[in-house]
Amino acid sequence: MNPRELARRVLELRLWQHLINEEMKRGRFRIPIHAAFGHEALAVALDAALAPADQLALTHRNMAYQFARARAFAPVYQEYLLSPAGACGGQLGSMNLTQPSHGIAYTSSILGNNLPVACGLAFAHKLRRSEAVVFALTGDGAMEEGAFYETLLFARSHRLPLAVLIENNDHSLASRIAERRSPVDAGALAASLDIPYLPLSGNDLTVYGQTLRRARGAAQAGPVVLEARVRTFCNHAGATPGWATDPRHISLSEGLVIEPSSEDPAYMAVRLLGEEAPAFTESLVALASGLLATPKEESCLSR
Amino acid sequence: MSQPVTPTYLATVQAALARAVSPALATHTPLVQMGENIDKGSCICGLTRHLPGVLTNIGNCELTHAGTGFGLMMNGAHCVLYMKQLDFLLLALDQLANTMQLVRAQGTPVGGSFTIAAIVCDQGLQGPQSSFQGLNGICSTVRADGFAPVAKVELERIIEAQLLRPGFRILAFSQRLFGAPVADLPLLWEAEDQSCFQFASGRDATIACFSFTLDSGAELAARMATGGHSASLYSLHPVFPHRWERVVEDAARSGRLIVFDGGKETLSPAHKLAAQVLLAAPGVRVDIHTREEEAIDAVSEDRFTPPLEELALCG
Repeated sequence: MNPRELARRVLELRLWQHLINEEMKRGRFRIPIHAAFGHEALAVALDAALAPADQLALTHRNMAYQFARARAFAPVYQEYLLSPAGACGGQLGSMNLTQPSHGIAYTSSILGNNLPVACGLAFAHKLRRSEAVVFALTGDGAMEEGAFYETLLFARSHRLPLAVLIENNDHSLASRIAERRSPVDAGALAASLDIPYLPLSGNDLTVYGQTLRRARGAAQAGPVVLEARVRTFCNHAGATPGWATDPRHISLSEGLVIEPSSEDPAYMAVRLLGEEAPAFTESLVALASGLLATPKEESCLSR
Repeated sequence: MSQPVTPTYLATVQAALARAVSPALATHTPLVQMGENIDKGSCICGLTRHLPGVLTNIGNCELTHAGTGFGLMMNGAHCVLYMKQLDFLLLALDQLANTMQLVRAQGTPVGGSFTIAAIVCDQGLQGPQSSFQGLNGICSTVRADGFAPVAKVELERIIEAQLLRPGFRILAFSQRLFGAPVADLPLLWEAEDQSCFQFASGRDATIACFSFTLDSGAELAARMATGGHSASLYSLHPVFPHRWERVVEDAARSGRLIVFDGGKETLSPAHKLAAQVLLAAPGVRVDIHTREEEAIDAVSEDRFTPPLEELALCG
C-alpha cells in the first residue's frame, strides 16, 4: 500500500480514537477503555505488513490495532457499547476484544499474559508448516513480567514464528521507567538469546513498513524482537482529560490533536500528505458525527 | 498355573496413555506432547516412559508452557503438557485463570484440545513444600474440569475420554499409588462426563471420595462389610458444574454420608456435598474427613489417614 494511503488511514484512525474519547467524556461506555493516541502509525503499518494468515496477540491498550484491522469504526464502537452489533456481539468489551476474522486471535488485559499464548499460536503454525507469523504486542511495563523472558526463551528454543513487538512508551500508568526500575536493554537481552532485534522510532510509515516486513520474514525462521518508541498521549484508562487537573486535554471541538513532533504519527502523516492534509482532515471531521449512534439507536441498544 | 499379576497404578496409567495417544497420532494433528524431561532420565517418574509419537522436551517455564497449550488449542491443535508435579502449576495460575476465562467467553475452539497431566506428590515425606494437593482448589478457581482417578477402570475411562477431548482439563495422578497394585474395583455406574464413578451400592452408608481417597473409601466399605453392613461407594471429580444428584439421593436413602477429601484446601468440595445432602435430607448423619486440620505440611505424617475403624462402626 502506498505511504500516502497509509497516512490517510493514520489520520482516520486518529479521528476514530477522538470519537471514542468524546463518547467516553459523555459517559457512553460502561467498560474500561484505553485510548491509544500515538500508536496509529505502528498499527496501520503493521496491518499493511501482515499476510492473510498472520495473527495478532494484543494488550489491553489495543484500540489502534482493533480499528486498523477492522478498517471500520462501527464494529469496535458497537462492541464498546456492548451492543449485539459489536465485533464480538458485545460480549468481550475492550480489554479482551478479539476479531479472529481479522487475525486478532487473542487480547489480554493482564500484562504479559498474551505472550505465552502467542507462543502456542505460533507453535501451531510451525507444526502445520504454515508461513504465518504471530505478532505479539507488549510494552515496557510487561517487559518486567517473567512471561516476557520465558516467552523469548521458549520461542527461541523451539524456533517459533513469533515477532514480539514492544511498544515502549516509557510509562506504566503514571510511572516512568526511571521512576520504577533499572533500565533494560531489549536489544542486548534479545542478543543474549540469539534473537534478532529491530528498533523502530519516528513514525515514518515507509520505514515502519520496511522494518515490519523484514521482521515478518525473519520470524519465519524463529522469533524476532521489535522495540518501537511510542509516545502515548494518555497513560490511563478512560477519557482524556480524565480529571479536573489532568495536564492533557484532548477535544475534537478543537480539531484533531496533532503535536508538531516526529513522536506524533498524525503529524508525520500530515507532513507526508502535504497540501492535501488540511482538506482531508476537514473532511474526516465533517463526517465524524455520522459515525456515532443516535439517541434512538442507543435506546434500542440498551433494551 | 500362575496367577495373573495385577498391574501397578503407574503401569495402568502408562498403558492407558499409550492406548489413547497411538490412534490420535494420525487423527489429532498437530499433536504436541511436551514436558520437562519428558524423554530424559526417569521420564517424569515413569509417567511418559512408554508414550508413542514425538515428545518435546521443554525448559522450566511453566507459565509459558500453560499459555502455549492454550494458544495451540485456540489454533485447533492438540497439546498434552506432562508435569511433575502439581505444585509447578501454581506458577501458571495466571494462564489457567485469565486465559481460560477468555477461552470460555469466546466459545469452545474448533477441535483443539489442551490437557495438563500432572503428578500429585501425596506420598508424604516431601517437606513443607512440594506436596501441593489442591486439584479441587485449582479447578474451582479457574472453573476447569479436573480428574484424580484411582481405580483401574476410572483411569482407563478418564484417559480414553478426556486426554484429547476438545477444550481444557487437568488430569492428576497420585505418586503415592504409583508402585502399588492398581485398585481393580467393579464399576456399577459412570457419569457421561466422567465426573462420578460408582463402585458399590449399599444400604447402610454412602461413601464419597475426592482427591485420591478412593482406596481409603474402598477399605472402609470392606471393613463395614466385615461387620455385616453395606455401603455405596463413589469417586467424585471436580467437573463443573457439580452434578452430585445421584450421591445426594443415595445418602438420603442410606441415612449416612461419609466424605473423604485428600486435598489440603480449607474449603473442600466435601463440605459442599454435605450441604447438598443435608438440604435434601436434614436427618442424614454426616462424617467429613478432609485434611483441613491435619495437613501440617511436615516431612512426616503428611498423608490422608481417616479413622477407618471408628467409621466402620454403624449405629
